[in-house]
Amino acid sequence: MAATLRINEYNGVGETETVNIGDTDMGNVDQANLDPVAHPIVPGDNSFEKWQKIEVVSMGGSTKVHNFKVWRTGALGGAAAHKTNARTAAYGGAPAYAQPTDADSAVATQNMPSSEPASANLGIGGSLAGELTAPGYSDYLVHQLQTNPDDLVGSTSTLNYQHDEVA
Amino acid sequence: MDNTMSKQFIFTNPATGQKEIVQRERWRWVAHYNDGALLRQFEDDTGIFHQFREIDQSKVESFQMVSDKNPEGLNLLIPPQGADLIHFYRKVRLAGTKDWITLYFFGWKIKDDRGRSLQKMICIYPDDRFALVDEIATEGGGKP
Repeated sequence: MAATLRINEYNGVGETETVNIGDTDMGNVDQANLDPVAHPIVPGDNSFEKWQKIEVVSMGGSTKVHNFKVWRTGALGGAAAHKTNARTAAYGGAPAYAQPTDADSAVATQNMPSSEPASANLGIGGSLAGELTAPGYSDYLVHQLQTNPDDLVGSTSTLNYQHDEVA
Repeated sequence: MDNTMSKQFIFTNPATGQKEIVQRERWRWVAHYNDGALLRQFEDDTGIFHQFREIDQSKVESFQMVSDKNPEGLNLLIPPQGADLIHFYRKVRLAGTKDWITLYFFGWKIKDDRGRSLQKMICIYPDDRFALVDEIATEGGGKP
């Protein structure tokens, strides 16, 4: 089993933590595990930002967890953009939490990769070269959908989370 | 389902001195030393788990990955001049699921006498197929 990891989401002004989220559906409300049918993004609007972290709950005998990567597979509807702070170069360090917004994100400013990046694009302790040798967290992953009036409603794509682990 | 898959192993964390429970992996490594001795990641007879860093890499002749379905597994010869071993898990999770999919990577890395790095790495996929992979290793150093 090795290390145990989970993905957590943070919402609201109070940085309310929801551990081990089941999905990362995007919508017009700042809510973990939201229902995208009940909370659709109106074409032309943005989704609320998602603020998420990958948490190492226990090492399970492993010595190191590192090399976090995130990317999306599947097409967005129309010309919508999926923005993120995750990047392999000019990484901005660990962003400080701010209440998720549906205005254009000031943190998620680069396109989410649509295939596995060649190297880590989500840091630990503010560095892409960071590693966890004990329970702890990745930096915040911030991402947001930004749509256009002509975009199609109801597109489905999948976010991939990946890490390497030395046992 | 093979009930040995759920077997728990004991590990004493060198950082804390605490004993920890480690679940057996689907694919496990076996280090074959040049004196005929073996070091197994999971010792079935004693229930002890060994970390990768416990391997005496100066003595490793070959590095084998085995599973219950593939007890012979894959046995990778190590260059006679020695090399840095590579072994790590790559785990992927797709949003909408709560399970991490594990890929097993192993191989070696060496530097030739001109300082160039040479790396051989194999990935074992969840369906037990495997492939030679070519990527920049994040593990292992490489002996000059």
